[in-house]
Amino acid sequence: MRFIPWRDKVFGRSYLPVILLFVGSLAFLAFSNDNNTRDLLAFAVKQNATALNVSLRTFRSLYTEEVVNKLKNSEFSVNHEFHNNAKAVPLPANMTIMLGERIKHAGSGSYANLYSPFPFPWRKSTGGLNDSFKREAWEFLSKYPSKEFYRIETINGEPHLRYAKADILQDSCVNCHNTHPQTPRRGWKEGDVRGILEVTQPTNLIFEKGKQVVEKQLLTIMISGVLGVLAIVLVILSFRHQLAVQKSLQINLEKRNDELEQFSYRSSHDLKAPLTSSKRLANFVSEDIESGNLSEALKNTTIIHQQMEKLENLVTDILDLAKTDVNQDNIEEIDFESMFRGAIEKLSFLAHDIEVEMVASVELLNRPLGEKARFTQITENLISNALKYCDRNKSEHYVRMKVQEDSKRLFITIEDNGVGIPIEHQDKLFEMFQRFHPTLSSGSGLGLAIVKKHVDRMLGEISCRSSSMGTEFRIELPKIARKIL
Amino acid sequence: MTNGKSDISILIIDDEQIDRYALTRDLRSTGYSFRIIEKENGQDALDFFEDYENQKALNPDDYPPLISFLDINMPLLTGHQFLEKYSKLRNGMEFINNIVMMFTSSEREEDIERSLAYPFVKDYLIKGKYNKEELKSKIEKVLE
Repeated sequence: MRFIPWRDKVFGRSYLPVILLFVGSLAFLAFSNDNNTRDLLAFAVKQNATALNVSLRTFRSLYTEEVVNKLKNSEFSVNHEFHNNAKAVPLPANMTIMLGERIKHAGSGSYANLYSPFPFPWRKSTGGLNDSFKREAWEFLSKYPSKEFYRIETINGEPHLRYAKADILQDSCVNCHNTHPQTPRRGWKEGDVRGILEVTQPTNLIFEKGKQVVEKQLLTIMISGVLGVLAIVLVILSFRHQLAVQKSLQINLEKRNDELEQFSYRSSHDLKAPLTSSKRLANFVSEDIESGNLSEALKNTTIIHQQMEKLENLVTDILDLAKTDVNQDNIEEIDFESMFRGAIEKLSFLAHDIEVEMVASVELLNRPLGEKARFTQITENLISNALKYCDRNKSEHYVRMKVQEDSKRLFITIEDNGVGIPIEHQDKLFEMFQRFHPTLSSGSGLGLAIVKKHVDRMLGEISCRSSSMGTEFRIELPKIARKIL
Repeated sequence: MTNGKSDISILIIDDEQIDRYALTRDLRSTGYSFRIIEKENGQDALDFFEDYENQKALNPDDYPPLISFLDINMPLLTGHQFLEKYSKLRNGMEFINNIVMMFTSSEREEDIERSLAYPFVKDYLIKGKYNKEELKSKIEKVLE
């Protein structure tokens, strides 16, 4: 399998746009949220200030109408020196200012202020336009009386909203403002901008509380966003996994297809060849009998017989190969001693006139479980190869069969000191129809392919070490667990 | 080379002894006389051609052979693999008169096309599917 670094797995191309979009949306969310929060909170503060402003003005006109005007023709006077005078009530402006101060002292942090460029003489110090905000507010609101003028300023180190509205002369006030002995200006008309009513409000409290709420919400949104992205990543991962599975299935299928094609090509060739040659040899036999060349006819009859044997062996091997794909189902105890004994008896003839020492050693505590037919074919194929490719140039010849085990695996080793497999052919060892020593033996070229298929089917592994000194096949198979009854 | 009386030199490249025997008998039955060399696989045949100088010295009259009969399915080096290597070997060497006739049991279109794509491959014989007259006329065509 190809090695893929984890970074490629995690940040593969399909993730990149998702991650970029996600980070982008978070940044946008944080940025726009900050702006929105500021707007929302500023609006809330302003609404507060507006409400206070409206309350103060409403209170004043009510006071003017219901108190001041009713006292005009009574023993009570309305003037700014009401403090030590039991028969005097405050002017509406005095009431407004006092109310503003009371509100401030009540601890809300808000306070009101009334000022104009025309203060009554006793308010010259506090009621004039004595800072830039006041001057600008007057300039603006005297032009646009129905609008509002506000901004945030730092007062005593804390941000405050200063909110100003024009104070417009009501019908109930005009008379007094024109006739009061100490009025700074006469000729007021209803609707004139008399002054400015400013409400000053600290913004910190609302901003902080508001921000907390909004930040909580932002956190919620981000968490759900992250979860959403995780979900998308999971979907992509599972999609990729499915794709990979499909791909490997496809590759597997293509490989099987190639194998099958090669198999049908080679098997049809190898099946046809002995038939074709026998047919032609039979013709020669007829010719030779007719011409009286009986010895040639006899020789060719023997060859026809050999060809038929070859065909028979090939058919057997092809059937064996086909059977490797079929699960035998009958799991039974494998008796390696008798299996090796049987193989030696059956195959010894392959060594012809050479004396080969055959040694079997079974080093097992118990008989392992398995499909007997597979083990038989594996051992018979390997032992027959060992005998067929015996090295006549060596003085002694042996084939050693061994079975060992550990707690989980079985190890089968078949070792010989035969001619060995040329190194350049070792990578094709388990392919079908491979024959590396055509002069030594004429097998089907399927033997090792059969062995490999059986080993694969049993989820095992097979390896081979070979040189001119000999060949060793080693098979490692997982043990089949015994059912506990 | 076209001297009908001298032996025609032939190389048979086939792993099956029976097929070599059968072809030899078929060739002899045409009435011409042949000097036949046999190689059991593509690699041996390639070695035989690569060893040009020595072989030429050994058999000045019969080397290189006039016709090579080539099987496809062989161990070590198949007919196709042989053709590929032999084709390269022919470049710059005087095998001009040596031609190849495929001699195989394969009837696959793919095999036929692939073989005849080489200019020096002149014919394609399918084992057991030709008669002696056909073989004779093919030989005569080469001798013309």
